[in-house]
Amino acid sequence: MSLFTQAELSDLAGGFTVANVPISLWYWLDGHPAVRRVADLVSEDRVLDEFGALIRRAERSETILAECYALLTAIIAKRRRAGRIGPPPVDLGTLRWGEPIWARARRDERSTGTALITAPPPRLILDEG
Amino acid sequence: MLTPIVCLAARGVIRDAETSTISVFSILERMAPVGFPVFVGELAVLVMWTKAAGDPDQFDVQFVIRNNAAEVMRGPFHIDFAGTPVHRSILRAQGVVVTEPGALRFSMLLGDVEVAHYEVVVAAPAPAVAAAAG
Repeated sequence: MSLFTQAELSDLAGGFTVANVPISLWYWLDGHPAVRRVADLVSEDRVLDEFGALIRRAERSETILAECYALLTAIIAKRRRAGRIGPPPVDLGTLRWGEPIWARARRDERSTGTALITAPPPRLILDEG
Repeated sequence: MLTPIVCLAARGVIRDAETSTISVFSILERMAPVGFPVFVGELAVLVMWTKAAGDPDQFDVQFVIRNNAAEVMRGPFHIDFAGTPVHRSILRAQGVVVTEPGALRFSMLLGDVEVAHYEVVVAAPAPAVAAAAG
Protein backbone atom coordinates (compact mmCIF):
# COMPACT_ATOMS: atom_id res chain seq x y z
CA MET A 1 0.00 0.00 0.00
CA SER A 2 1.38 3.34 -1.07
CA LEU A 3 2.51 5.92 1.49
CA PHE A 4 0.84 8.60 -0.66
CA THR A 5 -2.81 9.29 -1.38
CA GLN A 6 -4.16 9.01 -4.91
CA ALA A 7 -4.35 12.79 -5.20
CA GLU A 8 -0.74 13.13 -4.03
CA LEU A 9 0.40 10.51 -6.53
CA SER A 10 -1.32 12.39 -9.34
CA ASP A 11 0.38 15.60 -8.31
CA LEU A 12 3.77 13.88 -8.00
CA ALA A 13 3.34 12.29 -11.43
CA GLY A 14 2.50 15.68 -12.93
CA GLY A 15 5.65 17.19 -11.46
CA PHE A 16 7.76 14.29 -12.65
CA THR A 17 6.38 14.58 -16.17
CA VAL A 18 7.44 18.21 -16.56
CA ALA A 19 10.83 17.91 -14.78
CA ASN A 20 13.67 18.15 -17.26
CA VAL A 21 16.73 17.51 -15.09
CA PRO A 22 17.28 15.36 -11.97
CA ILE A 23 18.18 18.26 -9.67
CA SER A 24 15.09 20.33 -10.44
CA LEU A 25 12.93 17.28 -9.78
CA TRP A 26 14.70 16.66 -6.48
CA TYR A 27 14.36 20.29 -5.35
CA TRP A 28 10.67 20.26 -6.21
CA LEU A 29 10.09 16.98 -4.41
CA ASP A 30 12.10 18.14 -1.38
CA GLY A 31 9.60 20.93 -0.82
CA HIS A 32 6.49 18.86 -1.60
CA PRO A 33 4.17 18.53 1.43
CA ALA A 34 3.48 14.84 0.81
CA VAL A 35 7.20 14.04 0.70
CA ARG A 36 7.75 16.10 3.83
CA ARG A 37 4.92 14.23 5.57
CA VAL A 38 6.49 10.87 4.73
CA ALA A 39 9.94 12.12 5.81
CA ASP A 40 8.42 13.38 9.08
CA LEU A 41 6.17 10.50 10.03
CA VAL A 42 7.35 7.27 8.41
CA SER A 43 10.37 5.28 9.56
CA GLU A 44 13.31 4.92 7.20
CA ASP A 45 12.88 1.12 7.16
CA ARG A 46 9.26 1.47 6.03
CA VAL A 47 10.18 4.00 3.33
CA LEU A 48 12.99 1.73 2.16
CA ASP A 49 10.65 -1.26 1.97
CA GLU A 50 8.26 0.69 -0.25
CA PHE A 51 11.07 2.11 -2.34
CA GLY A 52 12.72 -1.31 -2.81
CA ALA A 53 9.41 -2.89 -3.88
CA LEU A 54 8.71 -0.10 -6.38
CA ILE A 55 12.11 -0.08 -8.12
CA ARG A 56 11.89 -3.86 -8.58
CA ARG A 57 8.62 -3.56 -10.49
CA ALA A 58 8.89 -4.18 -14.20
CA GLU A 59 6.00 -1.83 -14.92
CA ARG A 60 7.24 1.75 -15.11
CA SER A 61 4.51 4.36 -15.43
CA GLU A 62 5.11 8.03 -14.67
CA THR A 63 3.17 7.54 -11.44
CA ILE A 64 5.42 4.71 -10.28
CA LEU A 65 8.56 6.61 -11.23
CA ALA A 66 7.32 9.75 -9.51
CA GLU A 67 6.60 7.73 -6.37
CA CYS A 68 10.11 6.22 -6.54
CA TYR A 69 11.73 9.65 -6.69
CA ALA A 70 9.45 10.97 -3.97
CA LEU A 71 10.46 8.12 -1.65
CA LEU A 72 14.11 8.60 -2.55
CA THR A 73 13.79 12.29 -1.65
CA ALA A 74 12.13 11.37 1.65
CA ILE A 75 15.03 9.02 2.48
CA ILE A 76 17.54 11.80 1.73
CA ALA A 77 15.55 14.23 3.90
CA LYS A 78 15.49 11.75 6.80
CA ARG A 79 19.23 11.12 6.49
CA ARG A 80 19.96 14.85 6.27
CA ARG A 81 18.05 15.44 9.49
CA ALA A 82 19.90 12.61 11.18
CA GLY A 83 23.15 14.39 10.28
CA ARG A 84 24.65 12.11 7.63
CA ILE A 85 23.43 11.11 4.18
CA GLY A 86 26.15 8.52 3.54
CA PRO A 87 26.04 6.00 0.66
CA PRO A 88 22.71 5.06 -0.97
CA PRO A 89 20.88 2.31 0.91
CA VAL A 90 20.03 0.37 -2.25
CA ASP A 91 21.41 0.06 -5.77
CA LEU A 92 20.09 3.09 -7.66
CA GLY A 93 21.27 1.79 -11.03
CA THR A 94 17.75 0.91 -12.16
CA LEU A 95 16.52 4.45 -11.55
CA ARG A 96 17.96 6.71 -14.23
CA TRP A 97 18.00 9.90 -12.13
CA GLY A 98 18.59 8.18 -8.79
CA GLU A 99 22.37 8.33 -8.77
CA PRO A 100 22.63 11.99 -9.91
CA ILE A 101 20.15 13.01 -7.20
CA TRP A 102 21.96 11.08 -4.49
CA ALA A 103 25.34 12.40 -5.65
CA ARG A 104 24.06 15.97 -5.55
CA ALA A 105 22.64 15.47 -2.06
CA ARG A 106 26.01 14.13 -0.93
CA ARG A 107 27.83 17.06 -2.53
CA ASP A 108 25.52 19.53 -0.77
CA GLU A 109 26.05 17.77 2.54
CA ARG A 110 27.87 19.60 5.32
CA SER A 111 29.01 17.93 8.47
CA THR A 112 28.50 19.84 11.69
CA GLY A 113 30.06 19.52 15.09
CA THR A 114 28.98 21.36 18.21
CA ALA A 115 30.48 21.85 21.65
CA LEU A 116 29.67 23.78 24.79
CA ILE A 117 32.60 25.23 26.66
CA THR A 118 32.09 26.79 30.05
CA ALA A 119 34.30 28.96 32.15
CA PRO A 120 36.15 27.22 34.98
CA PRO A 121 34.48 27.74 38.35
CA PRO A 122 35.82 30.73 40.23
CA ARG A 123 38.43 30.05 42.90
CA LEU A 124 37.11 30.79 46.33
CA ILE A 125 39.73 32.48 48.47
CA LEU A 126 38.99 32.67 52.16
CA ASP A 127 40.48 35.55 54.01
CA GLU A 128 41.32 34.21 57.45
CA GLY A 129 42.75 37.46 58.70
CA MET B 1 45.44 20.97 5.19
CA LEU B 2 42.63 22.29 7.37
CA THR B 3 41.50 25.64 5.93
CA PRO B 4 38.90 27.97 7.44
CA ILE B 5 36.37 29.54 5.05
CA VAL B 6 34.51 31.50 7.73
CA CYS B 7 35.35 32.22 11.35
CA LEU B 8 33.19 34.55 13.44
CA ALA B 9 31.72 35.08 16.86
CA ALA B 10 28.11 36.06 17.47
CA ARG B 11 25.39 36.15 20.07
CA GLY B 12 23.86 33.08 18.48
CA VAL B 13 24.58 30.41 15.87
CA ILE B 14 21.78 27.98 15.05
CA ARG B 15 21.59 24.91 12.84
CA ASP B 16 18.18 24.27 11.28
CA ALA B 17 17.37 20.60 11.85
CA GLU B 18 15.13 20.48 8.77
CA THR B 19 17.49 21.91 6.17
CA SER B 20 20.83 21.75 8.02
CA THR B 21 21.47 25.39 7.14
CA ILE B 22 23.22 27.65 9.64
CA SER B 23 21.87 30.97 10.85
CA VAL B 24 23.98 33.54 12.68
CA PHE B 25 22.59 36.52 14.52
CA SER B 26 24.20 39.55 16.16
CA ILE B 27 27.77 39.12 14.97
CA LEU B 28 30.20 40.47 17.55
CA GLU B 29 32.20 43.24 15.93
CA ARG B 30 33.13 45.47 18.83
CA MET B 31 32.50 45.51 22.54
CA ALA B 32 32.12 48.79 24.38
CA PRO B 33 31.50 47.98 28.05
CA VAL B 34 30.91 50.73 30.57
CA GLY B 35 33.39 49.13 32.94
CA PHE B 36 35.54 46.10 33.70
CA PRO B 37 35.33 43.24 34.31
CA VAL B 38 32.43 42.53 31.94
CA PHE B 39 30.63 39.20 31.96
CA VAL B 40 29.33 37.72 28.69
CA GLY B 41 26.79 35.07 29.60
CA GLU B 42 26.84 33.20 26.31
CA LEU B 43 28.28 33.62 22.84
CA ALA B 44 28.85 31.34 19.91
CA VAL B 45 31.66 30.84 17.43
CA LEU B 46 31.16 29.45 13.94
CA VAL B 47 34.04 28.09 11.90
CA MET B 48 33.46 26.57 8.45
CA TRP B 49 36.31 24.40 7.25
CA THR B 50 37.50 22.76 4.08
CA LYS B 51 40.41 20.41 3.71
CA ALA B 52 42.68 19.28 0.91
CA ALA B 53 41.96 16.08 -0.98
CA GLY B 54 43.70 13.18 0.74
CA ASP B 55 43.67 14.84 4.16
CA PRO B 56 42.22 12.83 7.03
CA ASP B 57 38.54 13.31 7.89
CA GLN B 58 39.18 13.97 11.55
CA PHE B 59 41.15 16.58 13.43
CA ASP B 60 41.46 17.38 17.11
CA VAL B 61 41.84 21.07 17.80
CA GLN B 62 41.78 23.32 20.83
CA PHE B 63 39.37 26.23 21.12
CA VAL B 64 40.88 29.13 23.03
CA ILE B 65 39.53 32.55 24.03
CA ARG B 66 42.04 35.20 25.04
CA ASN B 67 41.58 38.69 26.36
CA ASN B 68 44.86 40.27 25.24
CA ALA B 69 47.53 37.94 26.67
CA ALA B 70 45.27 36.32 29.28
CA GLU B 71 43.64 33.00 28.44
CA VAL B 72 39.97 33.22 29.39
CA MET B 73 38.74 29.81 28.29
CA ARG B 74 40.03 26.68 26.57
CA GLY B 75 38.51 23.40 25.49
CA PRO B 76 39.03 20.53 23.05
CA PHE B 77 37.02 20.24 19.84
CA HIS B 78 36.79 17.26 17.50
CA ILE B 79 36.32 17.98 13.79
CA ASP B 80 34.87 15.13 11.74
CA PHE B 81 34.26 15.82 8.04
CA ALA B 82 32.49 12.42 7.80
CA GLY B 83 33.26 12.16 4.10
CA THR B 84 31.86 15.61 3.29
CA PRO B 85 33.84 18.47 1.71
CA VAL B 86 32.89 21.10 4.31
CA HIS B 87 32.62 20.93 8.09
CA ARG B 88 30.90 23.48 10.31
CA SER B 89 32.09 23.80 13.89
CA ILE B 90 29.71 25.53 16.28
CA LEU B 91 31.08 26.32 19.71
CA ARG B 92 29.08 27.88 22.49
CA ALA B 93 31.02 29.52 25.28
CA GLN B 94 29.35 30.28 28.58
CA GLY B 95 30.66 32.62 31.22
CA VAL B 96 33.29 34.61 29.36
CA VAL B 97 34.80 37.30 31.57
CA VAL B 98 36.61 40.18 29.87
CA THR B 99 38.84 42.01 32.30
CA GLU B 100 40.52 44.71 30.25
CA PRO B 101 40.19 46.71 27.03
CA GLY B 102 42.12 45.62 23.96
CA ALA B 103 41.20 42.46 22.09
CA LEU B 104 39.05 39.39 22.62
CA ARG B 105 40.49 36.71 20.36
CA PHE B 106 38.84 33.39 19.50
CA SER B 107 41.34 30.86 18.20
CA MET B 108 41.35 27.29 16.94
CA LEU B 109 44.71 25.62 17.50
CA LEU B 110 45.89 22.51 15.69
CA GLY B 111 48.80 21.51 17.89
CA ASP B 112 50.49 24.85 18.56
CA VAL B 113 49.45 26.39 15.25
CA GLU B 114 46.53 28.81 15.13
CA VAL B 115 44.50 27.61 12.13
CA ALA B 116 41.56 29.99 12.51
CA HIS B 117 40.84 33.08 14.53
CA TYR B 118 38.37 35.93 15.00
CA GLU B 119 39.13 39.05 16.97
CA VAL B 120 36.80 41.55 18.57
CA VAL B 121 37.97 44.98 19.66
CA VAL B 122 37.16 45.71 23.29
CA ALA B 123 36.96 49.45 23.74
CA ALA B 124 37.99 51.21 26.92
CA PRO B 125 35.09 52.76 28.79
CA ALA B 126 34.54 56.44 28.20
CA PRO B 127 35.83 58.60 31.03
CA ALA B 128 33.19 59.60 33.53
CA VAL B 129 32.04 63.17 33.21
CA ALA B 130 31.90 64.95 36.56
CA ALA B 131 28.85 67.09 37.07
CA ALA B 132 29.75 70.71 37.40
CA ALA B 133 28.95 72.02 40.85
CA GLY B 134 26.98 75.14 41.30
